[in-house]
Order: sequence, then C-alpha cells, then structure tokens
Amino acid sequence: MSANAWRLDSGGRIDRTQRLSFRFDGSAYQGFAGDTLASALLANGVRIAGRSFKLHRPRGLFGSWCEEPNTIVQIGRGADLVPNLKATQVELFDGLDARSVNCWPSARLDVFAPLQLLAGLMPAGFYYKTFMWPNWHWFEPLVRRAAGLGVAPTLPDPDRYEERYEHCDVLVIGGGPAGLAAALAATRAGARIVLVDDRPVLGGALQWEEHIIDGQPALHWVSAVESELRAAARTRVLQRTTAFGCYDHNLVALCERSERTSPTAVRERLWHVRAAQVVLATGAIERPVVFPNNDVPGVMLASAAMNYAVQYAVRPGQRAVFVTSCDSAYDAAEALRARGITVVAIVDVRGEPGDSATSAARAGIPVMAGYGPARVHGARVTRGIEVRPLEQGAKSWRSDHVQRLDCDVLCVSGGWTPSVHLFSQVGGRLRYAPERAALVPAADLSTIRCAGSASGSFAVQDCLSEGFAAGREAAHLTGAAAECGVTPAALAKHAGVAPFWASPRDRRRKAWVDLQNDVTRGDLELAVRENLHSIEHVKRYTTAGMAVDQGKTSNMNALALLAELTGRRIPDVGTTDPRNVSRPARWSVLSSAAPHAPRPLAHRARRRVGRLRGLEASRLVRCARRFPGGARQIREARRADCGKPFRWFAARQNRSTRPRRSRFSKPHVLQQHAHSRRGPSPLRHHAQRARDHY
Amino acid sequence: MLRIPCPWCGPRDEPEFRWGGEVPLVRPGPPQAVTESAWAEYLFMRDNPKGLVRERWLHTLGCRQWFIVVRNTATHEIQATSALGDPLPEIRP
Repeated sequence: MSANAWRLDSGGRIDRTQRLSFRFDGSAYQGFAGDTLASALLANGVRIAGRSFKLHRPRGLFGSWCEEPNTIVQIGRGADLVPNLKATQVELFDGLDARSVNCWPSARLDVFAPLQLLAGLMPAGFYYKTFMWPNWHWFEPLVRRAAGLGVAPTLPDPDRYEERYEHCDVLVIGGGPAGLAAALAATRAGARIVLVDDRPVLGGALQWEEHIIDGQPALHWVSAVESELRAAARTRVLQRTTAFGCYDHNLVALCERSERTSPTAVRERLWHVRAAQVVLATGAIERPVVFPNNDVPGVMLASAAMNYAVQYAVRPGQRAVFVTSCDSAYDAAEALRARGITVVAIVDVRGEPGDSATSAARAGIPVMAGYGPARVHGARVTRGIEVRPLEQGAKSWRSDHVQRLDCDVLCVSGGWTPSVHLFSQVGGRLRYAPERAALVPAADLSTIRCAGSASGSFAVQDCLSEGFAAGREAAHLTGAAAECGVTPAALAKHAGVAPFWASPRDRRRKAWVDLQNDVTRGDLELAVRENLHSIEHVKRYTTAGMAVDQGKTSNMNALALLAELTGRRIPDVGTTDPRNVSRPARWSVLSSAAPHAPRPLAHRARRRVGRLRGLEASRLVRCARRFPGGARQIREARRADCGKPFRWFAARQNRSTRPRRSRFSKPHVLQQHAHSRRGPSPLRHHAQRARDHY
Repeated sequence: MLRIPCPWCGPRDEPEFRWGGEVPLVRPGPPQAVTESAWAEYLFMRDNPKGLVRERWLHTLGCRQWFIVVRNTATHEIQATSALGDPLPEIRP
C-alpha cells in the first residue's frame, strides 16, 4: 500500500518540506521532520513493528510515548549502536537505521514465530519447572541466549557525555498543562525554577488534544507560556530531559538528550538538581483493557491513535472501533472522525455513559453502551472485533448475542493511570480512588507535591488550576511571594470513568495483560493457583510489569485482576514499588563523571546510581525501611527471620556457601584486628566464641 | 543522597561525610573486668530503631569534625545537628 494511504493530506505538527530517509529492518522508508520513528513507521504502513518477548507474536504500535510496550528497536551500528529504545521516543533523523529486536531476519518474517504454537507449554514460570532435569546448567546458555531483547554494543562509545549540578527553588517535572501552569505561577512569583519536560516540544497532551484555554486554542496558550518562561531570567527550561530518579532531600536526577545537531556535540547530559520544592506534573498514562486477542497489531491506546492522527497527521487505520470505559476516548473518536477516518462505533462498557455519548451520537458516531469486547479477529493485523452485551456491573455477559464490527484499528481506553513513579520512589503513599479507577497520591509530601493528572485530576481545567496552585504554593514556601496573576482556565471537559479491567473470562483464548512480557490473564490465574498472592511475588513469577516499559500500561490491570482472583479489594493487594531509575538511562551518561576511569562502564554506572540513592545503597548506614512494624528492633527482626542474632558487620557473609571476602569474616584477621584496636585479653576469646556461637 | 547540615560548614552532600554509628554508646571497662557478653553487646549489638535516632557523623571531606545528627531512619529526615560537646539534641517525636 502506498504511503499516502496512511499519511493525512494536511495538518499535524510535522514539516512536510523536509523529507527524511530512514531504514527499518533493512527496508528504506521516508518520513518528515517532526516525526518519531513510530509515527513514520505507521505512516509507511508498517503494521508489524516488533515481536513479543517470549512467544514471538507479531506486535504493532500500541502507545505513542514512554508507555509503548511492543516496538523496541536498536538504532545505529558498530560503536554507535544503541539498543532497547522505544520507537515512539526516537525522533526521526535523516539516515536513521533502526532494527527490531528479538526477531530474525525481521519483525515481519520472524523465524522464531512458530514458538507461538508451543504457547501451551510455556506458561508463567515454565522455566522453573521444565529445565530442572537433569541439570539446569545444561540448558542455561541456550535459555539465556533465547531470552533478552537488544544486543549490547561491543565497541567503546565514541560520544561525549557531561554532568551538571543545579540548584533551584522550584523544580517542575512535566511540561503538560499542569506543569506549564505550575512553572508559570512559580516564575511570576519570582522563584528560581527549572522546568523539565521529556518531549521535544512543550505542551504534553495539549499537542494533540483539542482544548480552549483562556479563550484561545491550547497551542497558542502553550507558546505564550513558553515565551514567558524563556524570557524570565531565573527560569530554566530543559526539553528532551527525563527525570529518572527522585532521591532523598529533593535530589532529582535528570537525563538530557541533545538534538542530533553535530557529531561532536554532547550526546547526553546528567543533571543533579537539588530543589527546595518539587512539583510533579508527570501526567497519566492510558490503560488498556484485557480481553481475548488484545495484542494483535492494530490494537492501540485511544490516546495514542489520537496522538498519531493529530500531532503527526498519520492515520492509525482506515476504520476504527473504540472500546472504552471513560470519557476521554470520545474526544479521540471525534478527532479521528474529523480527519476522515471512519469511526465504526464506540463500544462503551458503561451502561449509561452520560453526556459525552449523547454528543457523540449527535455527531453521528454510533455508541454501543453496555457492550464489551469479546475477542479480536485477525492474526497479523486487526480485522474486526466481536462485542457482546454486558451485565450491569460488567462482570459477566448479559446474552449470547455476539455482534461483529469490522475495523483495522481498535482503540482501547480503560481509564488513566497517574505517573507516580517518582513520587513512590521517594516514599510517597498511594491510595485507590474508585471514582477515578486509579491509584492516586494519598497526600503530598512536605516538599513534594503532585499536580494535574499525576494526582488523579484528569480533566484539563483541573490540571491547569491544580498546577497553578501547586506552583504558587511551592514558590511562596521558598519566600518568593510576588503576585502570580489569574489562574488559566479551560473550557471544561468530561473526565468520567468507570473501573473496568477485563472482559468476562473466555477460557479458550488468551487475553494479554502485559504485552511486553507476554503475560496473559491465565498466567496470573496460574500464579494464584500456585499460592502466590502477594503482588510482588506475582510480578516476579509471571514477569508482569518488568522489562523496558516497567509495566506502564499493565501494572494496574494486573493488580486489579489479582485482586479479583484472590477476592480482595484493590487497596488490600497493594502495589509494587517502582524501581530506582524509573525510565531507562544509558550507562554512558550515568558514568559520565569519570569517563576514563579504569573501571568497566557498568561498574561506574552502578556506583553512580548508588551515590544518588545515598543511604539506601550504603551497607554501613542502616535505614529502617526493611523492618516494618513499629519499633521492632533489628535484633528482634533478625531473630524472627532466621533465629539468630545479628552480627552487624559480618552479617552479609554466609560461611557455608560464599567465599569469604570481608577481612572481618576471617577468624585470624578478626583476632589481629581485635588485638590492635581493643587490647588483648577478653576479646581474643570473644572473637572465637562469637564466631562459633552466632 | 542526603543533605546534611554540618554545624560548621552548613548544608553539604552526603558523600562528604562519614557515618559514625549511634550515640550514646558507652565503652564498658576496665577491659579485665568486662564479661564477654558485655563486650559482644558493645561491639556487635545496635538498636537500629525505626524512627528518630541520634548518630555521629564525621565531615571527612570538609572541616573534619565529628558532630551529632538526629535522623529519621524511616524517612531520612534530618531533624537537628549539634557539635560534639554541646548537649545532645532532643528527639522531638
């Protein structure tokens, strides 16, 4: 099919005068300046852009930014090779050479594809059971080679990296409506601020959602705010910069990527920002719905479809069906329809969807209220979807009447998940808000506050007012008290949502929970049958929520399904803690401080992260995070855990299995040490006795 | 990374400092009179409570002075610091 069938004739924030050539899996394609690799692939009609991790199932684009689970690529060759990037986050440049990972020779024709037929033999944790006889170590090299995504480069990295330190009164993370409003208020108050945004252009979702702010189109408001911020002397705006870690005492680590202007330019820059106050306006990520065959290329998030159509002028498909439990998908459907894409129907699992449905129906989009997705048709590309009427409460089907809708793109939206990774990392607690179907911050910390979608307020008018208030309060607390002006106001939009995680169970077909790791609903059930009830155990056993995307689209669904399977409420299941370095950062930039030190890159990178984490990573200074339960002391904790008292400096040694590394663990050294520092008499015996006794 | 307010140098980053253990920690003596269990207690056993704790820190890469820090082991909040020789800072719950 020609490229024109997928690229819209007009619109989009791309520069059509500047054509860029690139290669993907060896084939040559063309895109425009302003495209990402993902949007350019979609515009060239590439539907299968990746293969799944375990079963090598064909997968297409699913998200449009950091949430993308499917399309992992590596770009460049030789020393320039960069593995495990998300195609959605790679800005297109002329001569880009990208390859899909975990498949050969290409994503379209993968020789490992027949592995799908063995899916029944490979449930969650199969490797714990099947490779035990005669010896796991015989299988290990093979299994390790079969697993894994990209290939690490073997040549030294020729690029330059830098690190910088920065101090400020208010650090605003996120350049969407809430972040911009917060930065605006703090700037006007006179504070010294840093605004961080990880996209190439400011505005966040305002780049593709259509809103009216202060009486003008949202993008006009964005550029007005941007010029005001750039004109302010004490405000620094960092674009293409990802905040990947939030550490003790408001130390935030940022990774700034440079535009590819010249080969000698600094490639990435590590920032250590120590802020008096932090405003987290990190937004929210749309959540898919779990139903049979929901991984076929062509199934994507409604926000992603809207993003591709509006920002990049790409048709995600020719005929679209929406499956939703929230109001924001109606805006996406409207935007697609306005760009000439046929919207076959909006399937809303809510029985009474409210005003959005009424206005969509008035605009001529059929709304099927109270229906749910029963299965997707198609294998290598979406051909249609079966829908069935749902019972009140959406737990079971109301009738056997199945209706098939033909479509080639299926946009799903099960609500929104606030991006609270940084907030949780620094110790913030979450609570489940059923009316928003999301885990939201329970309370702001003393110097860290969440605003906008990150705090669970998904409507644009709330994002603006919350962001503005957060920026003003943060600035006032640092002593900057100038007048901030009027809070920006937007025309109100609906943001209603009903909790809906999965269609009623269909035992004959796989329903995917985590697309990146091939985790199905059946895998979660298996884990529960095998008595793994803690979310942390289930995560490790099934691998739901691991790997490059860290479960940005899947965690909440896995959590809700686990709650359902174990008969608990969602707050009782709890959440997994997001790991340190919440977005992937390259070893090169993490070890930028000492580029020529004689240690391996990985070693230096780990040391650096350890330094950022400070106390938590230190073996000497103890912190009580590991010991829940009031004033329980370490001795009691140790006794309870293993029945032995705690030897504090030799506790990490296990004499029977590990080589002795610490000088303290060798008895003769301990004695010498005791002699030299503490005087001879009782301690010599004591050292011996202590070793035997403990 | 903590930011520790040294009583002499002001707030500095944690890598400049060295941790020196909980206080008060009284060495039993004289050595001949001390039982082995008392030595074991002194050498190996620490309270490590969850919550506020007083501890010694050394500003290794600064003024090289020892001082006392009141730190919350659960939140890493630093409540107070004081010079050695000054009265021990109060722990405010």
